[in-house]
Amino acid sequence: MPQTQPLDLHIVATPAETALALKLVSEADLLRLKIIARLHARGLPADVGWADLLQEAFTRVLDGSRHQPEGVSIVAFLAGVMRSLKSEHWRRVARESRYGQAAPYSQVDEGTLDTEPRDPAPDLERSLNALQELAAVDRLFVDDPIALQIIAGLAEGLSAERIRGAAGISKIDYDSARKRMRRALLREGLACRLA
Amino acid sequence: MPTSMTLSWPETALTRILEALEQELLQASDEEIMTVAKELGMNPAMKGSAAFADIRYGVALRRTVIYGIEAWRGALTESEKSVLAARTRPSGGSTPLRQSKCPQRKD
Repeated sequence: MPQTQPLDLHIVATPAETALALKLVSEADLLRLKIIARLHARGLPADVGWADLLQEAFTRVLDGSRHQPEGVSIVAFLAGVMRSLKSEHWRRVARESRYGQAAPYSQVDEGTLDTEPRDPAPDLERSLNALQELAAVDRLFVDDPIALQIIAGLAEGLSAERIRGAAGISKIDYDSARKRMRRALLREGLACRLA
Repeated sequence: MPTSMTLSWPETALTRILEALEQELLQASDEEIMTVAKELGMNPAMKGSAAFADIRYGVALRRTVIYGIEAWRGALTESEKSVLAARTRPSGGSTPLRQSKCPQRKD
């Protein structure tokens, strides 16, 4: 009988675990980043998971391709890297829609991007994903009318002061609502199921 | 709620909301996070806690001559065995290693 060489599973430390071992982050930081990653994975296609976003951010920091600026906490920095990875994803999707999967990066320059005809499908997909996630965010705060007013104001790009003014919310009520929202986000981000 | 009606693209609105909520999370204290984890029945002090599912350990593949799961278990190092014990169900010889206590959202 011929000898076979099946694949053997091997448990490895993830980039996040490596960062923890190097004391770049604490365990609480890991949980905070997990919640932020789940937040930022909203609106991304289903094949791009929050864990991919998080581990890729750690990888970019560990391999030196992203440098933490002075005065910025590692958690805020990693959150920024995740945001930038999201933008990178949508730029890649836009490129692929114009040039096909095999298009070389060298053919893609800013001038060409502006003049080539565009396939609207990826934008449509992104908008539909965003609409679904906006509805999911609303559901998260459905029992909290003040939180929903804050969310509506944030969606319009309003500052805290303008949201309070437009919705007639006192500073105390606004701050209380923010605390409730933070709590809801923490519960949502740590729980197994997302809304 | 705005006094005048404005229209934002959904992705722009979502981005604004997520960035604002990210700031909220950055301001959350360690204590607040640990308290919520405990409220959810998690114990972040444990290495195999569900709170860290999909964060701390992954599975890679290596090619070796193995004849079944028992031989594979025998080939594990002590630290791998302890991680495996923490991440698999007590009765689950057939439980996949990558099985997460907190599966990722795929819908």
